Amino acid sequence: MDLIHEGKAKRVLQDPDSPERVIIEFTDTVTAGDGDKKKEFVGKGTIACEMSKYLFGYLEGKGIDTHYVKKLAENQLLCKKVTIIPIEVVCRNIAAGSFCRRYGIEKGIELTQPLIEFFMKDDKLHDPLITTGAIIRLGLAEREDLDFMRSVTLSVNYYLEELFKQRNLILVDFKLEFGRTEKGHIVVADEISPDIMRIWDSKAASLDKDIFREDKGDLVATYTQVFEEMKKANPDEVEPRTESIQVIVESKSGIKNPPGEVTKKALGRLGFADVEEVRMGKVFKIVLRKPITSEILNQLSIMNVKLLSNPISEKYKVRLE
Amino acid sequence: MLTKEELEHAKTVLGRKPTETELGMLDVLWSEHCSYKSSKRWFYLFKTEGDKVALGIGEGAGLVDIGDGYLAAVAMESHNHPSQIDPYNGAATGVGGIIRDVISQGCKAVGLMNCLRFGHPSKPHNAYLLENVVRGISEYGNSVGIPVVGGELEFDDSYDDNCLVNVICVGWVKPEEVVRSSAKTPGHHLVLFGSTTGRDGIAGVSFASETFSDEEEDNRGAVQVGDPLSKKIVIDTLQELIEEKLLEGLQDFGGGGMTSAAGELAKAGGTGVEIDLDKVPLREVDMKPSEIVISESQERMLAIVAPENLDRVKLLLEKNGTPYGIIGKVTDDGHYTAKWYGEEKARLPISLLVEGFPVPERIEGKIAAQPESMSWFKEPEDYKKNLLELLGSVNLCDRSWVYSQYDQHVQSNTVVDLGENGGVLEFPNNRKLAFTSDCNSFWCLLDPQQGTANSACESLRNLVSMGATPIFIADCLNFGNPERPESYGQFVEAVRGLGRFSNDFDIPIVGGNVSLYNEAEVDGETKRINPTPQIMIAGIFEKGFTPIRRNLLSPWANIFLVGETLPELNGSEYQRIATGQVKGVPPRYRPEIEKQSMNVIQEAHQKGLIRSCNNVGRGGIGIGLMKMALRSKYGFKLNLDYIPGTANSLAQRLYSETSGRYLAEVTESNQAEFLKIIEKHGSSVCELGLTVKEPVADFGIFSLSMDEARKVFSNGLKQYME
Amino acid sequence: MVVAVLRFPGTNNENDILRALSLIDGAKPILVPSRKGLAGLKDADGIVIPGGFSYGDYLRAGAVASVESITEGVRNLAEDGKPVIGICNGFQILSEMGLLPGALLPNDSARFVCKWVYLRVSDNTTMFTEGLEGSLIRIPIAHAEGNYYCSDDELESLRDEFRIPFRYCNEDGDVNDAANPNGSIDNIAGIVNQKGNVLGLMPHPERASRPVLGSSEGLAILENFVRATKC
Repeated sequence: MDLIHEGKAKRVLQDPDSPERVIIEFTDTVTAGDGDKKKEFVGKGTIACEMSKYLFGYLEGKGIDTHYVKKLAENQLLCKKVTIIPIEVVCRNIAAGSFCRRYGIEKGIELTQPLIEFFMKDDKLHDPLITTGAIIRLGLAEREDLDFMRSVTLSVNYYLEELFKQRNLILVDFKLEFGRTEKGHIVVADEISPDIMRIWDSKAASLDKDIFREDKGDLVATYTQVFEEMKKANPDEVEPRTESIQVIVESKSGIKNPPGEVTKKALGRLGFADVEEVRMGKVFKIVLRKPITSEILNQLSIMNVKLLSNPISEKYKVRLE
Repeated sequence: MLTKEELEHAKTVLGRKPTETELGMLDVLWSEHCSYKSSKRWFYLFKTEGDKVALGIGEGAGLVDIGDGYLAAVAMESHNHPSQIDPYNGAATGVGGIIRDVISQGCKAVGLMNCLRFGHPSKPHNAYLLENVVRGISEYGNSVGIPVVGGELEFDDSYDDNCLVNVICVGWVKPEEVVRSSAKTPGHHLVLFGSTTGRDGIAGVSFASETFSDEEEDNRGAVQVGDPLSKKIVIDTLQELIEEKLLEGLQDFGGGGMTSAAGELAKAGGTGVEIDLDKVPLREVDMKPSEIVISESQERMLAIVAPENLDRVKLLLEKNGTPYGIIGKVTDDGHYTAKWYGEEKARLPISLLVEGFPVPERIEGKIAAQPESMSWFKEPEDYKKNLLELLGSVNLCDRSWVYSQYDQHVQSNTVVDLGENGGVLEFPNNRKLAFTSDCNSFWCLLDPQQGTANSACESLRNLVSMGATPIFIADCLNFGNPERPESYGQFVEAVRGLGRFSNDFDIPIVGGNVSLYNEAEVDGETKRINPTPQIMIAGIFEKGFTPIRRNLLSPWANIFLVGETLPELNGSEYQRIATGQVKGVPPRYRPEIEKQSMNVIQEAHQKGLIRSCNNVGRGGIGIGLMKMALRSKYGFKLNLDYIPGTANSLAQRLYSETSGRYLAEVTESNQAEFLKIIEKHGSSVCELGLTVKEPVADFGIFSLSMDEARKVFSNGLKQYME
Repeated sequence: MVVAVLRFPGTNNENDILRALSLIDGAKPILVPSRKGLAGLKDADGIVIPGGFSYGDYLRAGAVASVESITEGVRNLAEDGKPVIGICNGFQILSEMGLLPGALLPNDSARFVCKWVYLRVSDNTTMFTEGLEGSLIRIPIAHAEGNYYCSDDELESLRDEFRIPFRYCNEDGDVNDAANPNGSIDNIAGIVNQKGNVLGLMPHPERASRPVLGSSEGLAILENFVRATKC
């Protein structure tokens, strides 16, 4: 089997049976601080693999697209082959880690609502925080892709948080990576294990890689314990979350827009003389009963062509809220 | 809100404190809007009976026999307060409400009219109100598929803070298909259908029974939102229910929502109702029972259905995708009981709830006498300029900016569309009916009684000039706060005026509505609307008669003026343009003269002697003639020296608004016979001049081209709106 | 021959059409509610889609109706060469379906407009204008979205293929801007498809079908349509 990529804790191998699939092998290596701190823990690869399998399966069941296909060996997952988007998406519910260091605040402060941060995937630069403007201008991803990843990350956050809550586990923060499949669909990639997230128990004790970062105990035992706890939760009891999408329909430029023109005149009558142009369009708020996927975005463009807009005279934009 | 006295009265009758839900119910049903508590005591002055009246005032629509087994229906209502707050939805739901009144009687709705009043459109807010009121009426009425066949538009500063939106719906029904608004039989089901219930329009009637304060914007929640598609589906569904005779009674949800609808059904039937509020299909899940019972959400109807028909009714409602709920039953206990999951939230005697209010004391203030004097009057320096100014003034100019936004032809019954003296519809018995509506609020301000009667005369002349015979009246009386003696005085005087007219001309009043509290507090001062008794009259044509229009039809015909012209320019448009205000004694109501002229025109029409005809009203014969020519290809050449009456100057003759006058185009060959009719009735007449081929208005000492006049006329209103 | 008059929720001219068709010999008009789907059209020899506000026109005039299942039946009949007329909202539905090219945008005034207009009928014969070639028709309009728009290329082929039977003009027959009531490109009031059997028309021939209504000049269009159902 050809090695496609060797990461800090995983190796990616080509699936000999299908060019569209890869085999991800979880190693026992644990690193922290951009690889400055590194150690082997026997059995860590197996438990991270097992847990990723379990959580990917759970999220797929809730309608979230991931790269996961099936589990092969104890430390191997068969996955769709994707091109990884070089952006790490972090979602934070409670202040911890670099967030505290960056803003000089105490660990444990609850954020009023989940915060999404983007980091540039680049070991040499130590994966710096990056703004959306910079991502777009550097050509790392399109605005639509970022909106999509943000939306999916918030869905993942909701479903993990609700699942963990049943066992009094607190999801502090986590990091996701996304990849683009051969078909162009963007899916959640990499792994989902305590290696990429912070989980606390009800007394705010760490049950994740912080054990290693802070040398606080037996990493593999903790991972095993948290996984056992997780498995006791009932996925069916997690209520589906609705997602809203806005579709904005405007008349194409160059096409007369009488409602806008009349509105402009009316504004003039009310004394707003500086209005240069008004164009009136429509906004649809579409509420879905499942997470947004690339497939749904495709359906949305079909909806638009079929019904929401008239392609002869109108154009549309989709906004994920 | 209930007054202290009303609350005490309710406690005494009930022997306990009313519950929260009951308080809300009493509040809406005892509001002026629902109860007519200040106005009803005067209705005895109206003529309401007549051979042809099948159903008079009291239910959704008045019904009048038009022969061949058909009844014409009419309902008239105001939607003033909501339109001031949210002009688009306010006006749209006004139209929706009036349609419901007509269809709830089992009728087909075939025509709409709307009478609108605003402050001068040069003020941006007034233009905004007009624009959106018209758009609301247009988008709603057009969509529901009922043509607009008439209306009126008047501007005056007194409407700056209280615009008026009065709407009329006409329809027809066969006597055997009339559905009454009563619940007679205990055990019958109450079926609510048409739309879901939400928080829109909660306590709208209470809000319409108060004057505006500076915080008017906060009142938006009290405005209902219309849904013409649901209304169209309700109309189609109702048609099926009525055709299959599945309904024992029907009432629409209007002001006061379910409290009023079910209360009135029980009152009319001498029964009671028991309603399970939890069975009402809701739009917002967390509504309280006290909100559900008074919500004024649109497009809802309440039907009384016998148990044996219930399944069929449910099937038809489901087939049409109409939301519905079987919400309760008719009882024999004379009470309005409202329950919420079995728990009693209200139990009020119907006799208390409906019309059981303590009659409030109202004081009729004396109307200040106006001077007879016309000392303000002087001839214009430039007659042509003056005439153009009148033609372009907002109260006389072309209204097509408004009415071209209304579908006037849907249903394919429209014989005469807007811009004429009245709209004419063909009814299924092949009879044509004409509809017109007028109110000259300036006359009514100066003398509410005479002004009201004379406004009615103007409507009458509109019908007569087209060749129709008046058959019934509907009215909408818009006044200020009845708790103030001066407003109440205006109201009572106007009722006397309308009462006199209806009796003098023997035309029954079959429908109407009263809208009081059209006052606003602006910077600590009370601003009240002009008294506005809007009067609508319908007329019927003889079989086979083609309605006469006002556009000149041929060159070299004679133009006759029927009736005397007196120096009556107080309250006229001429006075308004010349002095910027109206004052003095307005034109007098002279029923005998009015009848004389009417008889002349009617007889001449019967004999087919008149080619085109116009009523002389606002703007006098000057404007009356211009309107005849502007809608034609022709002009006229006049000599105004011999006009009968005491008006003694050119401007007085042209612009006096004396009542009882008509303009008639009569061809040379018919002249002798026409004059014979005049002589027979002892009426005054003069030949004003001739129609001419050239599009020129030649008044003798001055003239102008029709192109010039048309430009000014058509721009009068448009200049503020585009 | 059986003429199916479609009624979508919100259609409001169906009775006007039925009444006008009843004046024409040989027409057997039936009302077909759209919920009947394809089955409702199985006997139809021709279809009229009347005016109104299908589904409230809440989305875009005609848009919601254009994706109802019954429109498949309209498409089939059109393909068979049977005559189809869409009047006002019906025209909007046909263009939303793509059976006719272009789109009907909001009127230039951005307001609903109801008035009597004149149409200049093209000199070139179509199924619907036989005997009317070159004539002038007085007829009412009533719509908010009647501003016909299409690309320059499309307009050129409409012209080249003589597919513009009706254009707005003044009383004297002059086709000019002043006589254009809604801003339609090239004063277009009605067009036909390439086969010539599908007509979209903004004005209302059924409202000009009896002298008492002020004109009966629209009836000839419906008479031509009925005759075509027999072919």
